[in-house]
Amino acid sequence: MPRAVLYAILVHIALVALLVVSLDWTPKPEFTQARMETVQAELVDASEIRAEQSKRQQEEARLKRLEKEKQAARQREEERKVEEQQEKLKKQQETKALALKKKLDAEKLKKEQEAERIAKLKQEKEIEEKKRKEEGKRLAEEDEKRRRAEERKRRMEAQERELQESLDAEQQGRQAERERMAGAEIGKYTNLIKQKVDRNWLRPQNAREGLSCWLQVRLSPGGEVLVARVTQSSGDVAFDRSAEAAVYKASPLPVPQDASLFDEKFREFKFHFNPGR
Amino acid sequence: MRLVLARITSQFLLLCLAGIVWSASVRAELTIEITGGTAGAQPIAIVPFGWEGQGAPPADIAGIIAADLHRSGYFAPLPGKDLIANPTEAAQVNFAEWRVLGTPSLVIGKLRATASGYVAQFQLFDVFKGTQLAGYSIPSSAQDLRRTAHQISDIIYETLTGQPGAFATRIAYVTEMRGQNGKSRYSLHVADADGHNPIPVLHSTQPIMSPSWSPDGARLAYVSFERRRPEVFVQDIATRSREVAASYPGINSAPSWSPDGSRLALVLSKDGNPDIYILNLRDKSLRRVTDSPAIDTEPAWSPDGNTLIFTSDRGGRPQLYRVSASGGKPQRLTFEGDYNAHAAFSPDGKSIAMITGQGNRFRTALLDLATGSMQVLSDGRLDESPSFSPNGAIIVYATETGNRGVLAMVSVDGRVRQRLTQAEGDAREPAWGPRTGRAKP
Repeated sequence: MPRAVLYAILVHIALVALLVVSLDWTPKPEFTQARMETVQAELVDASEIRAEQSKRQQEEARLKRLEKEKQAARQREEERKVEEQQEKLKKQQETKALALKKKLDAEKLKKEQEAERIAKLKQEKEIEEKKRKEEGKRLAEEDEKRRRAEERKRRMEAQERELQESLDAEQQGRQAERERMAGAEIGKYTNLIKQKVDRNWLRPQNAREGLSCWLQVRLSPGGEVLVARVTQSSGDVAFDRSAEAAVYKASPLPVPQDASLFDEKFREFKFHFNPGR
Repeated sequence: MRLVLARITSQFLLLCLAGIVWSASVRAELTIEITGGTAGAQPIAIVPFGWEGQGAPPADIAGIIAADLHRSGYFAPLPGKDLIANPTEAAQVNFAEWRVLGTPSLVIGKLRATASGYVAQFQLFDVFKGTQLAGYSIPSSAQDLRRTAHQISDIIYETLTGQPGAFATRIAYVTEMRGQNGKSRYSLHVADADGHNPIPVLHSTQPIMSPSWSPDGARLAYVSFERRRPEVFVQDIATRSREVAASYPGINSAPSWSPDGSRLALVLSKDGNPDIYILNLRDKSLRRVTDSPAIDTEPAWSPDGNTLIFTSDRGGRPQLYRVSASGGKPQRLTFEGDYNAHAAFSPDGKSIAMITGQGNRFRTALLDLATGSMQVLSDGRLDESPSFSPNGAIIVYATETGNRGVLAMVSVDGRVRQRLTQAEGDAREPAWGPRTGRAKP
């Protein structure tokens, strides 16, 4: 577009310059004619006729010559004019052609540029595509790498975990075994204590049905009943007392030898006297 | 020293280890369920009381207490031969010794002669805990020594069972003595609850029947034939003064004192055949409760005074019926057996003692009013007139043994039965008196 504007401006400048030149040229003959008319009006003196005559003859000759010259000049001018015209036309045509050419050139350039641009774009796109493809490939590779690493890590972790689990299981097994044995011991002595207290429990006659009470007991390591105390009464004094008496009468209670087990479970525990008839 | 320290350290470590092991797993406190045991009388050791005075001791306090506690059915006093020691004061008690016996309770005491009479001192111990549960010094007199012993029994009973005792109470009953001339002599007696110390309050050549205690224990209502027909009398026990309460034409019988002491339920036949009436003792007004062509008799008040239970043969055979004290339609209570009579309410109003007859056997039974279930308590042949102790633990009744009428007692669970000692003649129609004030001094 700026190029087209430039051309247009140039063409106009050229045309204006042309016009100025022709104007400059046209008024010259008019100026000559007017002077000649002014001179003709002053020719009145007979003395001067001859002179004038001669002068006139001379003048006529000069005029004729002038005319001739003038004609020649005119012809030349005409020729020049035609020439000029032709020149002008030619110039115009040239300009036109030039403009056209320029336009065509511009168009061509534009087309070429467009093509170039497209080509460039295409190339860029291709490069980009290639780049993208390469990037994708790279990413995929990286992904794969990462995946593998992760899998490796996972596998290792799993193995570690498995190992840990088996270790834990082993430990738990040992713990469970310990607990199982402790549980068995607890069960055994709970039962022995229960039996002994049951044997020693003389419930009161006429006790209402549904009575039950809770006792807290403290034993010595030998199973000796140190304290047996009703913590939750049945509401029946005789029933409560019979429960306390049963525990004391059953003293010493059978307890495990294992000191830790004794401390944990049998040093202090609860009785629930609940005949539930 | 270093060795000890090392041992302590290792024990401590062991303890820590045990703590770690156990804290991780089982932390809940052990609870052992005791569901068995056997129901039975609670053993109690009652050591013969010491005696500080001249000559032989005036009373066997320990023996009276032991007999009381045994009779209740709750206790099994240790036989004297099983007592391993005879302490009479706390300082002499070796609890370890008594624990070996497995007897949870121990009673010791002594009787001391004083210028004005006696002082009975006793202590009740928890053998296993080595603590004193109760202990009192009770001033007494020669004639009150048995009563003092009964008071001690009450204190022991209440301490160990949580229920008030009823040993220091009295019973009224009627005796019939046949004289040489073949004529009978009837007497109304008031005695200690164990049958001792009988005091006659009335003698008559004509039958005396149906004694009933006033709620304050000061008076007795009874039926006397002294004027050749049954009339109801009310007598003050202390002053012996008495008055006729009901002397309507026909039968006046089976008086029963209302729980508030203002009325007597009784049986009158003045309107035809025997029916239940309520006599207001203040204004002598009379209100009829039942009206049936059958015989209605032996009214008994519920403890709340709202209900009467009576015997009626309106169904053909004597059975128990219940009626509102304000009247209304009676409801039959007993259906089991062909004879149910002589109802007496338990102090809590939840059950009644009665005589149930099957064939030719009449036995004392307990009827649960809520469930309607009946439990026979005695193995008598001809039981009659059951009456509850004020604490509801024992029932006194009359029975026949060797063609003699005697008084007997049975614990409400039927486990302990005992005949009361009695000199001669026939005893019948016992009525257990109320508790007249706290037994505790």
